[in-house]
Amino acid sequence: MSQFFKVETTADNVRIVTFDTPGKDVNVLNEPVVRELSEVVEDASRADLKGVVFISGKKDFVLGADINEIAQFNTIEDTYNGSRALQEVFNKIGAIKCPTVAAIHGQALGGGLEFALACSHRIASDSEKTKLALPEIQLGLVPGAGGTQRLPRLIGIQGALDMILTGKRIAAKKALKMGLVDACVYEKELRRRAVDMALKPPLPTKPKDFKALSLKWATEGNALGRRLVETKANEEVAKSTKGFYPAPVKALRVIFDGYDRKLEKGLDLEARAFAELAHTRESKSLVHLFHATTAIKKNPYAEAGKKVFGDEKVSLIGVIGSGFMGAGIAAVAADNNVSVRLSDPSKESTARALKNARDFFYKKVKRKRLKPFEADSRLAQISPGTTTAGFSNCEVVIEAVFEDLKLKQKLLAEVESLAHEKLVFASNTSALPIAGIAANAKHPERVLGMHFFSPVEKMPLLEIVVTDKTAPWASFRAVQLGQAMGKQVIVVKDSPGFYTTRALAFFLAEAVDILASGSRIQAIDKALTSFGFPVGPITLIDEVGIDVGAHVLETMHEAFSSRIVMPQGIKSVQESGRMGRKNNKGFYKYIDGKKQGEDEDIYNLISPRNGGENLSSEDIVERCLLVFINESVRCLEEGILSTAYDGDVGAVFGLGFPPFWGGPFKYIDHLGADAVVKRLEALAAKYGERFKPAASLISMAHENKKYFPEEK
Amino acid sequence: MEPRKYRKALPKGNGKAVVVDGVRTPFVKSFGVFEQTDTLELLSRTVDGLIRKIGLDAQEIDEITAGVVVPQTKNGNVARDAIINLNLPASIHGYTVNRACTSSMQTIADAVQSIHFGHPKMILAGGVECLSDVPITYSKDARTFLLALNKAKSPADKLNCIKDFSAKAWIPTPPAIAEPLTGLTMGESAEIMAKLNEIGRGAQDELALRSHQNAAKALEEGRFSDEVLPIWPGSKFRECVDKDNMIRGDSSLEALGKLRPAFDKKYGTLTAGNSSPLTDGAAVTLVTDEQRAKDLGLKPKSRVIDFCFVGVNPREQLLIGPAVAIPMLLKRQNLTLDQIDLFEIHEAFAAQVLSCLKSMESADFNNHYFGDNKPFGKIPVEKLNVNGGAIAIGHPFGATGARLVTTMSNELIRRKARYGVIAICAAGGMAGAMLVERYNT
Repeated sequence: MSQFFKVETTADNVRIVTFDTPGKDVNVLNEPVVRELSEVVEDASRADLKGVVFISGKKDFVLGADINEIAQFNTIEDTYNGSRALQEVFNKIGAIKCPTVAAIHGQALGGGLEFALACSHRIASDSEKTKLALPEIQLGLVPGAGGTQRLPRLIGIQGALDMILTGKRIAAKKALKMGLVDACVYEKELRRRAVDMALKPPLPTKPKDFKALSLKWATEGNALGRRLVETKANEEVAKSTKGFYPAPVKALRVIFDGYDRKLEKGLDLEARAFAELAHTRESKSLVHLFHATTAIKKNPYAEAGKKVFGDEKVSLIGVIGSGFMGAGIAAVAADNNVSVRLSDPSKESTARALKNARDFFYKKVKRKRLKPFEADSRLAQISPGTTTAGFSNCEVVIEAVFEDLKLKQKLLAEVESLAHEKLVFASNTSALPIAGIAANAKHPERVLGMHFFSPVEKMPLLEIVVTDKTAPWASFRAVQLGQAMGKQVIVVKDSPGFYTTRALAFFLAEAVDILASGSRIQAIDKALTSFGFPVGPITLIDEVGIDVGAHVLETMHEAFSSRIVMPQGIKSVQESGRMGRKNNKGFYKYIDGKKQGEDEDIYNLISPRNGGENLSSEDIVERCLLVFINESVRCLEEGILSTAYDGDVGAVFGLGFPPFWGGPFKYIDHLGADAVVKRLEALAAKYGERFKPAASLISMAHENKKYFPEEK
Repeated sequence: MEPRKYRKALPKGNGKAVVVDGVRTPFVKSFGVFEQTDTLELLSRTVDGLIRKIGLDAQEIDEITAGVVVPQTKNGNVARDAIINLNLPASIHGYTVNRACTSSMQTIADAVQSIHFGHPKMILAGGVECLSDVPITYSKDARTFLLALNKAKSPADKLNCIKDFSAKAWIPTPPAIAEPLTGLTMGESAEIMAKLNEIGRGAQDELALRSHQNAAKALEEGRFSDEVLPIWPGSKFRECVDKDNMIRGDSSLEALGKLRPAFDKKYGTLTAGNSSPLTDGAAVTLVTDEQRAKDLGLKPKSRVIDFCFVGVNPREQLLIGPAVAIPMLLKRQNLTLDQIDLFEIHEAFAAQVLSCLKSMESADFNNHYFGDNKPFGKIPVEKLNVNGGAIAIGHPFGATGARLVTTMSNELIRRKARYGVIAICAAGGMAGAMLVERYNT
């Protein structure tokens, strides 16, 4: 009858419970597992044992509760009961009289860590793979199986806040230091040492450092100190969430309210908060993004790639151009164990690129993420040079020179002249058509776009652009490299502006058009940041550069002349010598790159339409957002995006679309296609064709369909 | 990088060693533009630069070797460290050797020997020196004290250690380029050679001037551009160093004549102008088996025909070795001096080069070492150090051998000449010589 748990008892009378879900690579907690675990635990508490060890038969401990099961609960009450049921089992583990030891190797996440927290002791393997975390906050939730209560009681409030509010993953050594685990041992010895620990549990260690101890008492040991910490934490959370996310606020309340009370009371508060949050739009959006990013992890060209490359990873790439983008690509590649050959005739530019990479790596040294020699080695793996010598050995060559079609074609020809037959040539263009770059290529099947976002070190998205001629194995290679570089990779079809640049262009054009119709610069930016975009559209134009922005808008206008508005006045803003932040002159004023107030002269340059309307904040958002969403739908319709998941990932991770809305497609699901169509029609009547709802959206509205029907 | 699976058998070879190519960093004045770097960084960049220049698949490399004369303790085996630092395939192994200024001639000789022995290996042989970053040591007393203190467990033991320790022992020993067993510095030894062989100040300055003029001409004509890599020195990466920075084409006998003697202030003739300066730099050559090179489509530049190393009495003439090694090498190969098209005699000091030349022209000297009662011969000045030498270009001890093999190979090709002889004197009273032949396809 035992299915998920293998139970054995040693000669020393220690019960070893091995969690090993049959037919799966990982262990998760769901209803049948919990039912069986409950029996296993009850049996153990009845038996006269010396100790109980819980260990996993997989390469990870337990990855948490089954996220799909949580989504199935229809009401808050159901979710609350589900949470209580899991808490119940863990309470039973907590009630076992003899020592209980969780032996953790690999990841112990969410419910998995809460499982371990319910045990009297924890022992972890010192493997790099061992990571402990309560990542519920990243799904817009709080831990719902005792984490908010047991963790602060074990490691103190401050440490628990840090883990619960960020969801950060703690390595074994750090966990030992924090008191999260009692011992840290070599992976192969984990089971044996766990049994030893059950037989001879270590005494609770007393911190020796008097200063740390008194600080802890001052901040946590008394009610007044705790209030102070709570106030401070609330301020921090308000600042970092800007009020967009309810989970951190709830987490704080549950942690502080529960800490003073009995565990049982705290657990009830926690289950309540968990259940309420699970039914919020924010949580559903974040869960959606979790599904989306999981879905895109699968390389769509796996089969074709496997045939050509087998298990071989990308280990050496060439980067042409050591400017800001090239430098970023090189640094991120080297940081991920991919060696880089850099080529740029400008020695000064390369010097800056190396300095930039060194600063990037040494920032990690400062944060203790890297040892100095590791930083030096990463740096050493960026090979600087003034020519493409040695590029014949590279597996992928990425050009990151400025947007000049002729130059890119010339570089492609140069690389082709020395390339081997499996070398992929990628252009980091953000707007030039890849087919155009490959127009004269001898091997257009090896050419594609790898559109990184700036700054590469920070921006998580990579948009890979494939043409009709790009070979699947080449696309595979690019996706493989992008994922190795830690990016969220979407693959789109070649067309003007691909997906991200196109959606963004419509968005920015709308914002400038609103400006030209009489709204204030700051009012427009404020409207969209209040909606949840990280920066306003006008600020964004200043950031990317007015010259670049205007050029992209022109290109888009050539392609979609019937739809996109070519905002009046942007030309005269550009001709006034304004380039944005880079020359300290843009829609805003800048001093040494620091943004000051808006530049009043702009209003003269774009000469707002007479009798222009001064739109409300809602109207500004409505126009910018819906033109963005409508264009996204068209991209899916035209096959530029292959899935709606790709569109949401692209918008959120590349363009700053508010994650708590889940992306343009999830937004439609949240509101219903019908409602969105109606709003678009109203706008179309007033402002023109660009708002005319995409055909597929209309039919979705008719059939009352959703993009993600499987998500509730 | 993951090593590719070990081959069941080494690739085919014919036992003949060839030099495919070589590169080096610019040679620069110590305590200057490479001040913030170290041997690991310089060697890593040079190894990487050569692999990149040739377009070599790193998986084909078997071994990387380096000569270093004043190693920093941090990277005792800098050759292996560079492999790991660059994330090259872990299957590549490497060692670091110290045979004073012939160290990278030694690494090349080792490569040649192992190929000749029948291992058709792909070896990056070279050397590096960063005199801007050398270990500063404490006295033996201080070292003993520190180690004892480290071992002492109880406070009483520790106190006991401190009790006997004198503050004087804390004065660090400044590094000196001195012979540990003669007590003399290189300069002092060369000064003795100048006096013994009656080498005047004027002749020394003339050689130094020619070294600068030849080097300046080579630089101007771009003859070094094939072998010198641009280096962006860490950790600040302020600039790119792409040229040797001590060559002074505009020097003159007059200017050199004004310099004060550096070692024997009163009666000496050696100055900073006619001696090689303290230098930072690295050089690496690719040595492999002829057959293997052919199979991989590599185009060798030269062959290494033979080499020899000699020792002389360090108390007599410390740096006279080349005058013994060159005759020995040519005798082994049954070659006469006039069959050799080019000579590179390492310029530690002008006086030392001139002493070597003069000794080879001396019947007494030749008789003393070889029992031949006649002079060995005269090396014509137009065949000697035609692209300048260490006085102008600089002398990073560990890297000089590899630089000379590369420069010689390139110059033989440029002149369509056949044989070149390289000779280098070394501390401890040693020298090495190597015979190189232009590769004829």
